[in-house]
Amino acid sequence: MRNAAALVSGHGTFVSSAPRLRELVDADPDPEVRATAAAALGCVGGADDVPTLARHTAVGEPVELRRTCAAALGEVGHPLAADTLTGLLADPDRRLAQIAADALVQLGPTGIAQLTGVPDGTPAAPAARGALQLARLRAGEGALA
Amino acid sequence: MNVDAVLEPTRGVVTWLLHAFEVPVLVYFLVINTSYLLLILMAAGGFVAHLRRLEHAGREETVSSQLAPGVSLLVPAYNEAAGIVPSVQAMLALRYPRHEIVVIDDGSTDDTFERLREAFDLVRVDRELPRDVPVKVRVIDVWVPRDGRTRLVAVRKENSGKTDALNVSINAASEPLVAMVDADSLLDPDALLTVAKPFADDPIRTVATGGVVRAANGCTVVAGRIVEIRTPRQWLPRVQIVEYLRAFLLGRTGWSRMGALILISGAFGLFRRDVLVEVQGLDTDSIGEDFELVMRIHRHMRRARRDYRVEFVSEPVSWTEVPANLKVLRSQRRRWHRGLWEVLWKYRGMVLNPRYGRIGMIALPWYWVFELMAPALELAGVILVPLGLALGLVNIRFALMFVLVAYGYAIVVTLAAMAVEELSFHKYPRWRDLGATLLASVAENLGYRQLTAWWRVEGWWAGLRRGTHVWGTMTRQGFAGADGGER
Repeated sequence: MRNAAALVSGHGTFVSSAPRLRELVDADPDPEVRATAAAALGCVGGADDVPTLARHTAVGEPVELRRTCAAALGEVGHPLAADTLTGLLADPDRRLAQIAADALVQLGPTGIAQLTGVPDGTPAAPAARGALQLARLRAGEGALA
Repeated sequence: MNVDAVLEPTRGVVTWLLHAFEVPVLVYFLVINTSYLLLILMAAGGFVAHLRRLEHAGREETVSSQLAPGVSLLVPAYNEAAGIVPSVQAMLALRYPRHEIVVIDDGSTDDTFERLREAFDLVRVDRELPRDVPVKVRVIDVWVPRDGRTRLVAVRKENSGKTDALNVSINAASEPLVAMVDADSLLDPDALLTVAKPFADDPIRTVATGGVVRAANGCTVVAGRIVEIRTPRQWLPRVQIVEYLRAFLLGRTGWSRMGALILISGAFGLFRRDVLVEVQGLDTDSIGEDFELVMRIHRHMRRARRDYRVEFVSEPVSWTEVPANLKVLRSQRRRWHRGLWEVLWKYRGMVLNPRYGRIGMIALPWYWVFELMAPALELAGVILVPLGLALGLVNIRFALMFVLVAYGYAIVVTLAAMAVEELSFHKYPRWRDLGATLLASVAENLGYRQLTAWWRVEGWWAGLRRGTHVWGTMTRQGFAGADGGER
């Protein structure tokens, strides 16, 4: 029931539900509910929610929650998330790294600058490069060499 | 040489076998046909409920709804140059708010990839694929359309088989739901809306849905879409249409209503991606990989005591060309039955185990007795009854009863299935097509059933001997286009 309520809160963009969603992300005993609440927070949240979401991308949190929080940071789209997301580009969970790279693109110029600044040959480079290429294609700038 | 003299040495064995099996075989056919009839009646109830809900289902609203979960269509392709472009075009044009197509070129030796590259102006990107599920071989490269907006991803890899290609595509998918689709499948425009509906209705519990796969032989196809539904002129595909209706449409709808669906066709199934990752994708060593996957999901969810649903959607969504010659049909049926045996054997610990609920207590025992063993018992009946008649060991009354219970009852069951389907979906608008399928339901029992029973026993035997898996080649004849051309 909590899971369904969290899902609907996000899709319905019920902004007033944000405080309750933050509680669910932080403390619900069911990891699935936490992940759903994080995704919903991505839809209804703002700058105030970046610290909550960023905290749960940390190593040791459930895999699905980390990924959902990274994606939610992209949805919120606030530049405050840039450093957290950049830190995830080299994560051994490569899907998380890819989600973080795509989320950085969603942040706009701040995120793009972070991606561009990733040095070649580092563990963070593949995810950054892939996301940048797709972003440039979408912007009509053509493929990279 | 006198026929009686030839048969005489078998008299003792036949007498013993007839005494031992005549009643059990009759009871067996009575129970199998009755169980099919019950499944059909349950399916009929499901159809009535479905049709009642249909006008309130809000399909048009779903098309633009943000609540609809995104879907990645996974399309493994090996030497599909002839049809890959229209197939992908048709998939891109499906009505759904958010979907992407992931084509895995499984080391094709023809120009499958080149045709895709030209048609969709693909460019290579340095997109790494996460290893969420294990794969056997290296990915060569990843391509996307130059416009950056067409939601198509093409992945090239070394050849390692369809199952491994599907695992690669699970890694490449970016949406929460994944639909496994054969490259030559023809999907109805609303296929995704239809099959994804249970996920929208119950997003927490639904983990997998299966769509109906129908025989497309004889239909007119334009640009990867069925535009006119007709029955084929050849009898072999015509009989398979009847078979698909009874076993795949009505049978699976009945199992789904019972909450015990254990098989979703590999030709069109929709799964929650995270659940596929939890069970580590498809088993590349299994010849019945679609059946094995659903069984593994059931076992995983039941062991974790999670509340979940595996649903079958009865509305027509996907069409495929069925074998039109005996050689290909034999290869297919051997493979299916071998896959059935291997999966049932692998999951034998779930049979009659209350921990697995209806799956363990009803569905699996039924599949063991009425799917796996059916061809062997059918062949036994077909051989023993005429032999007993020839030796004077069986009276005409028993022989007639056998024919009535095994075949007459089966025809009644098939006719019931066709009536339910016709009243619910009315897919064949012409009386001539309906007549043809009615005749096919009778013709099915005159040679076809016995032949496929023999092939299924061959497949079972091959599985028991643990020989090499052979997929065989599906020789396709193509479909008639509106201009009379071939797809």
